[in-house]
Amino acid sequence: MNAAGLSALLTASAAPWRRTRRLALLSGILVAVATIALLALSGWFITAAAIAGTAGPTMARGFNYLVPAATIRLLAILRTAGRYFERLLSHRAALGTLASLRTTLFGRAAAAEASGRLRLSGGEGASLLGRNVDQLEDRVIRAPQIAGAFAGLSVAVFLAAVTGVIPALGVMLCLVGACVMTSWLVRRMLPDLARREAAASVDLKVALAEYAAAAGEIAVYDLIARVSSELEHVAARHDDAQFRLARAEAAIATIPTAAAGIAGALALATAHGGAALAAMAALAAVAAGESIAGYARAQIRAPSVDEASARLEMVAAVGVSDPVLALPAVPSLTIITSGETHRLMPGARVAIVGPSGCGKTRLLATLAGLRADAPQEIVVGEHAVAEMGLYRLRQQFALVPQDPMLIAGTILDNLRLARAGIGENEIWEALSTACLDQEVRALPDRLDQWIGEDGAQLSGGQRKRLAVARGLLAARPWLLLDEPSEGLDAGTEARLVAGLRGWLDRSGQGVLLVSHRLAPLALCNEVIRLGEG
Amino acid sequence: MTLTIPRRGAFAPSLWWIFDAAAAALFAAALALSLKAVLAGYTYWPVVGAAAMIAAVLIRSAVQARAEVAGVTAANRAKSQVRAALFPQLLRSRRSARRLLGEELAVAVDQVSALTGYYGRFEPIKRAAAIAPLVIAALVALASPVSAAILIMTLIPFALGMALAGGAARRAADAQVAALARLSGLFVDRVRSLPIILAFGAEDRVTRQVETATGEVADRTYAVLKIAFLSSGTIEFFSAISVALVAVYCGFNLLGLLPFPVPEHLDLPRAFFALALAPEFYLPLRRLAAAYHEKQLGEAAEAVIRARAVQAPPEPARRVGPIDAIEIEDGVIDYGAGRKVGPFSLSVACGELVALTGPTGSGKSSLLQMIVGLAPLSEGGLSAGREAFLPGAANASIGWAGQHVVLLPGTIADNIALAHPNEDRAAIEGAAHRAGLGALLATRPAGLDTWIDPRGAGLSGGERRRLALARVLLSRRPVLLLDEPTADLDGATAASIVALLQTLSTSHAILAATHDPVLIAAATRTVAIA
Repeated sequence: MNAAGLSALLTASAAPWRRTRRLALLSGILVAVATIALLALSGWFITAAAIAGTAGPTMARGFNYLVPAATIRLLAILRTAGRYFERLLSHRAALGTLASLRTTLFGRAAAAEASGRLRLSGGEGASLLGRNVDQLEDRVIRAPQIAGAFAGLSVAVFLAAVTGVIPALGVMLCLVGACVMTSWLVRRMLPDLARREAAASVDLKVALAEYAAAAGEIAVYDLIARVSSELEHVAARHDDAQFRLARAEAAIATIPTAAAGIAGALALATAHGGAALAAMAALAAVAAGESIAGYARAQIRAPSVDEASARLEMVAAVGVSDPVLALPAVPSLTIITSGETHRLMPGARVAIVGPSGCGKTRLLATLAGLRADAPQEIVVGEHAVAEMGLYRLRQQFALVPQDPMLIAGTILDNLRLARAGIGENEIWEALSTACLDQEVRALPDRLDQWIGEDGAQLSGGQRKRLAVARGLLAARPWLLLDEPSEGLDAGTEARLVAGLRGWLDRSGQGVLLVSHRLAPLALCNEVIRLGEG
Repeated sequence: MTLTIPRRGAFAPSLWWIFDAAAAALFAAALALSLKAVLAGYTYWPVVGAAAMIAAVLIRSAVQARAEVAGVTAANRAKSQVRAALFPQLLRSRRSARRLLGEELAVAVDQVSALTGYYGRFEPIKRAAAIAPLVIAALVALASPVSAAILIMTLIPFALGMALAGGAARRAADAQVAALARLSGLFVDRVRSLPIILAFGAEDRVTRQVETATGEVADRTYAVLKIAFLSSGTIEFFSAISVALVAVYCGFNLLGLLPFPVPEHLDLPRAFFALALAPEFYLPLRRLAAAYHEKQLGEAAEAVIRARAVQAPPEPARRVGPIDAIEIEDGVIDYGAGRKVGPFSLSVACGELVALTGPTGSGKSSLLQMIVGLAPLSEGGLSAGREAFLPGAANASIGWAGQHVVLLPGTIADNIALAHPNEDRAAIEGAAHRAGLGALLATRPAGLDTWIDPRGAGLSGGERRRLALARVLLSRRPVLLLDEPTADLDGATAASIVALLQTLSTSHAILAATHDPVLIAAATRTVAIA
């Protein structure tokens, strides 16, 4: 077991990027310092120039303008470069960190799914996981801005201190106050508003789902307009909750600007040491507003990042245990259905028949370890199927599911799922058995052809046959075929059945077959009839 | 049917963003005049100036908050229009009765929500970004026309730089787009495909594949970002350099040391005003760059919503005249992806109560939904008497009571009358009592005028079913489609409903999908689908 919380995983994933993050942090600090210094120096320069200019041409000529003018231009370039590298490096670190975090989380998700502790495999659960990981990016990307905020704050306070203690205290009070106030308000106001927003969103989904379930009634009585307008009321409540959240965020986001402006006013009014220094201190304080704003933005995003981490925590917390690897001898199979006991020896070829909904697909999926709700009593070797667990069942059974369940990738990616170390010859033999070899040879990239998400670029029959080939390649003692010839014309179906027969003769594998069509049933020499309901 | 996505009516937030530029000028003016007071060595004027600065910055903060809030208000109006097109399509869509609504709900709620930032922030900021810099330049020109000219002049190399950076970014993104599109969805796809991966014991191999793919996504994305950040780098550069140029120009002007003649002679307040406003010139564009993420999210959501609108079913078929029977011959419902129901054949005529039976999931509900146009009939056909009709075309002759009952805010009477809005009170009352709602009405002081709230309605499951039956009775429609009319009811209630249906069947054609042996026994005929 190596269970670890999300933050430990994140730390481990971030470790190789420490140098990049440090450089990003330094860039963030450079940006803040350069931004403030640029405005402060400009303010000092103009004011000092004005004083020298009014004092007469001699004074003006004596004024050293070259150094400040050059420094101003240098700061402009430093600020630009700093900003570019801050963004680039923080993204580099975030991308690298999350890439490795995704891999680890995938391993954890697989372990969780295998042990039945989580159900992430629904499309929605999967994309939720993806989105939540994306949200964590924010934490890495914004770290330099937080560092920049404190650097900016320090520089502004330092420059104010040049003009006296009171201006320094005033600037510090305003800027630190802005930081404290933002985080306090964020924690106090946003979580509650965000919860209400989420609740309103759920309300809307529930209302939509309920009315959609009653679509028949809506259709016959022509209620679409009335139901839509009622749904709009519920949606408007969600909009309102979103509005309240956005309003609170907007209010909090103005604090840095306001605080920096007030700090500037205080610095100007209380500064000692002349107008040029006063101008410098005031503009430094005003410019610090931009740095503090970066901090405020990070704070405002924090609750949703925290929530995403909390949701990922349950995946991260799953311990990865070593699967049972011992491979038992090829077992016999006992299936007890409505009082009848069927004992199937290794290599048996059995047709499972019965009306729709009697549990044929459930029987096969239970044997494959994907679900556990087969109504029949099933014994594999000596053990009840429920005791076997996925890890042992999958060494015995290869499933060709009714819905082919293909992964996004190439044909080869899909076939290689079946087993490690499959050779090219085996692949073509399996494709030929599944009557798919000629079609694959005709594809532009052959085995490396990209087939889209869930085989979207293949026809229904091709997807099915690819799943058959994958099942054959797994080389398990038992093959579970769920409607293998669905969507095929009679000629192809006949070839597929002949191919399967030859394959089974050679391999000696047993087969459990579900089909509504007659041709594949000819493969079988035993029948299990499942009763009504 | 196309979905029009509104963009208009959102000028208020743009105006607020432009006001923000004016508020910045107010602050700059207060700052410049305060500094003049400091320079002159006054005692009290600097304090007054500082107070003016504080007032100006508070005004500015309020304007910025107002701009954000006005954006959300405008976005909410636009979203409401999107929903007005989207919701009816959702209610009319031909979905499998069994299919979870998760994906559709995500489109209708989450994707529509994602439009908020796009309509409410990005769009207004984009519009303001075209005008606000010019407003700043005009205000700077009041104090120093040459400074304003400097700011405007930086726009020329800026535009060139943006065009170059933008072009390079587009090329970099195009070069990677196909690979990125494939790889970036891989993580989510593999999580979604976990069952089959686990069934073959492939999780270790797939984990290595995920590792390679996510690493490659990171590298390729980084390659794109290196170039893409040049655009925002260009904005940053000109933002910084315009401040530097104005500062150096103003300094040299004040010193009287400019190496070339200029038509203006500055004093400190005017120079300082120009300097304080210089960073504001590129601020709108920097804001726009920062809102880019909202644009991406919004555009993606718009695409999903548009695609959804394209998939939406056609308008219902042209209506046929009244029917009083239904025949289906060799009907097949095909939802695609191998999910099919049928073939099935059945008929129900006036005077019959036909029980439709079959195991859970065999497609009984789908069959009823198909008749009213909510499930795709791919083979076979519907007819009444000799006349063929399309699914959904005979809805005006059909009364429906399903497993879920539509409730709208209103009284019980209002809800019953949904089936026949112009019916008089006595008819509603009669229908309610025949459907067995009498006991319920007797316990409520307001009787038929009891207010019901669709969520947390205070009606039990059985009462909802009865309300649906009262609707059916009030509608006086000759063909009744009932989905599990006695499910979840206690024995006595179920028996009374079965008795009612038997009575009704003498004058109606009733097709009831059911598991209930009592109802099956009471039926004229039973049709089993498998």
